[in-house]
Formats: sequence, C-alpha cells, structure tokens
Amino acid sequence: MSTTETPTSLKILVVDDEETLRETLTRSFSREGHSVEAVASGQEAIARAGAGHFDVVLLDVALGAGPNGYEVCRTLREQRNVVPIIMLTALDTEADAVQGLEAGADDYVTKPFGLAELRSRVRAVLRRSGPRALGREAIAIGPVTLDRGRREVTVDGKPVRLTFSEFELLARLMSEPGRLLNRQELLRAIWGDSAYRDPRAIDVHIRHLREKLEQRPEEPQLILTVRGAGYRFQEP
Amino acid sequence: MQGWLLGLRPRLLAALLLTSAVTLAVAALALLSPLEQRLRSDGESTVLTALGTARPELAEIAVEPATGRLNEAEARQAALVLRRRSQATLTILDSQLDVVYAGDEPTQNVPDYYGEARRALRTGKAPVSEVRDNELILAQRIKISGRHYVVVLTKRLDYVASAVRVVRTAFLEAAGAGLLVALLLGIGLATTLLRRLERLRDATRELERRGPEAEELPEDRGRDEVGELTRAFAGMQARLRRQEAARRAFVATASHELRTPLASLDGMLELLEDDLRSEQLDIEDARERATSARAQSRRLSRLAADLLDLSRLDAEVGLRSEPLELGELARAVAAEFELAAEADRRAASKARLDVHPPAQPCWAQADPGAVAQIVRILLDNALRIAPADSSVEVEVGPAEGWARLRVRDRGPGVPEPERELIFERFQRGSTTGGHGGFGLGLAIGRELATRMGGTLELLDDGFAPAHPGGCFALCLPEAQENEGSGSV
Repeated sequence: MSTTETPTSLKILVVDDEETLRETLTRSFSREGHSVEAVASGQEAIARAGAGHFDVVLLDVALGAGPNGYEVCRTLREQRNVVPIIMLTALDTEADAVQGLEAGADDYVTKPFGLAELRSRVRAVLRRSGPRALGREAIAIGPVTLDRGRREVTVDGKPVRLTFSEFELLARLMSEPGRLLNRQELLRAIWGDSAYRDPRAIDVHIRHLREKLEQRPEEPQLILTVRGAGYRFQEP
Repeated sequence: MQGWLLGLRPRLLAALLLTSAVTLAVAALALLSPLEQRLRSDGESTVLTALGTARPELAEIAVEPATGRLNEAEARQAALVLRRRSQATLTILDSQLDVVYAGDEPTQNVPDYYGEARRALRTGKAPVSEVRDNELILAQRIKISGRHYVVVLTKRLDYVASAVRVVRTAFLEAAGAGLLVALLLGIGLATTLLRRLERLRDATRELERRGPEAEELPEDRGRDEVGELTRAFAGMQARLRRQEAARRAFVATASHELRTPLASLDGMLELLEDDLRSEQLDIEDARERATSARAQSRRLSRLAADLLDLSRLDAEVGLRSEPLELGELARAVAAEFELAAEADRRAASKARLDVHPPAQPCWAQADPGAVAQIVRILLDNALRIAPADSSVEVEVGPAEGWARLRVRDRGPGVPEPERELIFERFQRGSTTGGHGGFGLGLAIGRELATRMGGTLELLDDGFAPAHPGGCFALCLPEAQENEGSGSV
C-alpha cells in the first residue's frame, strides 16, 4: 500500500468531562502532529463537531449534565455527520459496547486505555483519509458504486452517506465480490492489525449498512450472512 | 402418575366431590328413614282416631237381646261405622275370639289375627298395633252395646313404601345432578386457579433464572388470595427491578469515576515515560505532570475510600451506640481540618472554620467513628464551596429532643430542585462548580445518620435571608442520663 499521499496530521475532537484526561489526550496527540480541540460537554461536542471538519472524534460516554456520549453520537449521525467516532467508555460489558455501536460509533475503547491503543485507532483513520494514488478507481457491482478516492457510495445513482467503518467494511466486501469474509478479516479491514476488537461490532455495522443499501434490510440481497462464518457481497 | 394425584386439581376435585357425596348421603339418611316411620305412624293414628270417634256410634247399636251377641246385620252396621271413619279393612271378633264379622271375605279366609286380638282383650283399652308383611294390624277392644268385642283393623302400608321410593328416586336424581355440578364447578375452579398459579410459578422460575430482567407478570385482577399473591409478587419484582436499575447506574457511575482518572493517570505517566526515554526532558513540564499525576492518584484513593465506605454501609456492618459529647467531637474534627490547612500553603485564601461549642455538654447516643465521618464530610463540603475569607460555622446544641450539629457556609447554597438530589449517590450539586468531590459524601452521611436513628438534612435557613449558603443539620438521638456505653 502506498502512503505517499496520506496526510500526516488529523483534526481531532476530544470530548471528556474530566479536565486531566482532556489535557493528557490533547498533549499526546499534539505531540504526534495532530491538531486537537477538547471540549467538556455534550452540547459543545455537538456544536463543534457540526461546525469544524474533524477527521475523528474521541467521545466519552459519561459527560455529566446534558447529553451523554451515546446521545451526542446519535445526534451527529442524525445530522448525517459521518466523522469517525471512537467512544471512550468506562463500561466494559458487551451490552454497553453494543449500545455505543448502535448509536453510530465506529469503535469503542475501554477506560483505562493505553494511549498507544488509542493512537493505533487514530492511525487507522489516518491511513484512509485523503485521496490516494493507487488502485483507487470506483468499483461498481449491481446497483452499488463505491469510489475509494472520493469516499463516495451511490445506490442506483443516489449518494449514500456511510460512516467511516461502514465505508471500510463495504469497500472490503466489494473488493472481492462473492467471497466469504469472516469477522476478523472485516475488523482488520477497518482498524488494521491493532489490538483485539470485539467481532460483534461487525454485526452492528453490517446491519447499519444494510439499512442504508438494501431495499428491504430484513431480506438482504447484496450483503449476505453466512451463518457462523461471516459475510459476503454479491450481485443480486 | 403419583405426582399427578398430588396435584392441586385432582385434590380439589376429590374434595368437592366427596363433600357433595357426603352431604347428600347424610341428607338421605336423615330424611328417608324418619319419613317412612312418620308415614307409618300417621297411618296408625288415622285408624286410632277413627276408632275413638266411632265409639259413641258403636255403643248405640242395639243388640238383639235374645242371643246377647251381634247378629250379622248388626255386625255389618258396626263395620260400616268403623270403615267409614278408618278407611281400613276390618274384622270383628267377640270375647271368645270367634269371628263375628269378616267383611266380604268368607270367615275361613280371614287371616290369623288371634294373637293380636288376644293381646288387645288382655290389655284393655290400649290398642295393639303391629306391622306384618307391610300391613298395619291394629287390634282394639271395643264395646258394642255393653259387650266387649275386638275389632282388628288392617291397612296395607304399600303407599308408605311407594312414597319412600318416590322420594328416594328424587333424591338420587338430585344427588346425580349435584355431583355433576360439583364436578363441573370443581374442574372450572381448579382450572382457572391452576392456570393463575401456574403463571405465578412460571414467573417465579423465570425470576430465579433471569433475575429482575425477567418478563413482567400479567396483571391479575382477582380479589382472592391468588390475586393478592400475584400482586405481591409483581410488587416484589418491580422493587427488584428498581434495585437492579439503581445498582447498574451505580456501577456505571462508579466505573466511570474510577476509570477516567486511571486513564488520565496512565496517559500522563506514559507521556512522562516518553519524555524520559527521548532524553529531551523539559524538567518543568515533567514536574507539572508528576504533580498532576499525584493529584489524580490522591483523588483515586479518596474515591476508593468513599466506595469502601459505601460498600461497608451496603453490607450493613454494625455501628456502635454509645454516649458521646458532640461539642468535643466537633472540636476534634475541626482541629484535623486546621492541621491539614496549615500544611497546605494555599490555606491563606481559604475559608475559616469557627466551632461554637454548646453551653452545656451535648450528649448524643451514637457511633463516634461514624459521627466524626459525617462531620468530616460536612466540613469538607462546606470548606470546598465557601468563598475565600468567609467563615464556616459549626454549632452544637440540643434541639427538640435531639442532639444537633449544624454546619453553615456562605457558599452559593443549594437550588430548590437539588435539595434532596444531593443526598443521592454520585449526585453533585450544580453550584459546587465541579470542585473536587464525587457526590458520595452526603449519601454516605445520610445513610450513617439514619443507621444511628438520626437524620441528616439540608435546612432552609442559611446565615440570614441576605446571605445565601448551605446549612446542614445532623440530628442524633440524645443520650439517656446515667447510661453506660454499650453496643447495638
């Protein structure tokens, strides 16, 4: 993979009600060359994420008074904001994780997390942002067209807004139509070879993808489930 | 199969059927046998009455003087009189027990009534009655025109048997119908009752299996005991669910409060480590980070202490109950704070702490450790929000049968909607400006106070109407005079 045209810095929005953590994250990512903005409340987060064009949002779940992280996430997605969102959560049960993904988050990191772990997530986003030189022509299968370079997807000519994870998943599935891809492969397609991720996250993203692409999401024609194994994309 | 027999339905059915059957049997016994006797004695008394009323007429029958005994016409006349009144077949015998009249029957065909007739002659006026072959035989000495005769009246008692038969048949039919109704009623009752009980049983098993998440029991409007049981169960389930929700909220908040400082601590140390490794160490920056890391770890240990206090409270660890002097205790706790303030260089800008001890010693019955902890919580809160150079006042004294300690500050006070909320776990007042605490102190304080039979409340009055501020009052039971220390 060529990284020649990959930008080296991202605009990151940090949302956490704890001052020290905001400071630490700002410092850590600034040092990597990213530009970081940190806010404490849900309202500010919604306002800033809507106004500034961020490449990634690190969003805490518990934000004191006002909207919590899930609500911020949902609001942003309702505003058709597809910025990659990584939830920072203190809860590590499956239900809590799924709640974040359902709200539209791309991924979650459980506190206390290592900065290295968080950086690997951000790097995964970095690798894919901006136009790239090689092999980035559009793929068209059936009604779906995916343009890697412009990060655009259309269904029957109509543009569809996909989140970061949804786009990466679809791109991976469409790169080898008809081939069965298991959840681990799909996870790698989004986040690269970083730490272990919850494969169930894929199921949530796939469901969101179907809702956006399929005519009848409950009877998918494009993205098929292979029970117990994974998913494959096929021309209907 | 044995299990089936032990079930509620067969037992209920058996009980209903048995009750109906026994009731009917007892009723039948109580009715049928007396009925038969009654009918018989009725028959007897009819005949006897007839005899009695016939007497004067019989006496008037003129007997032909020649023979001195009844000739056939006279006997027929007497018989007519008797028959008209008694509706019975009759035979008349003379005192030698010769048949003088036998109705239309030829004399030799007359059944043998000598035994009864002889006894009637012997007993005199009292009648002799006997039932033989379902026939009532009644012999009575009578006087016809001055001489003794015996009249034997016989009456078939078939009507008694048939009446009893009719009643018995009616009874059996009623019994059959009754048992059928009992059976149907029993099945219906048992089925609905069983269905409701089974629903309750399933719900209980579900609760056992899945905990408070289990599906809610459909409402049972029955006003009987099963309905009550079902409602009690639903109430219990709702309570468990609320507790579970509260527990979850607590765990969620506690883990956020614990893990967020851990995350920043970890991050700060990681940055520091990076700096040290890169050998481009900015000493000032590193010092700042170390200070900040220490502050975080102190915060964490405070939280750990609070959480431990809470779990100890939740585990209901026993509290002591002994007399303690509240004024002395307030002074001691205030002294701790003053020592800490002296150690802190920024103390100069902090609020003062004024303790007003009571004029008389104020004895409370409580756990000294717990009371000291509550006072610490109140003072810590007050000092944290009090403006610089203002004073936080601690006042001790008796009040309406309580030993009371009040802590007043000149801070921003507590807005009306939060007055009760601030006593809940992880609830911080909005006017604290995000200073320090975890929102656990007042929750712990109130729980402790309640445990000791006292109260911890936010009073309406601050210093004066012109000055806002919070005023918290801890009320504890007063110690009884001359009471030694003990434990609960």
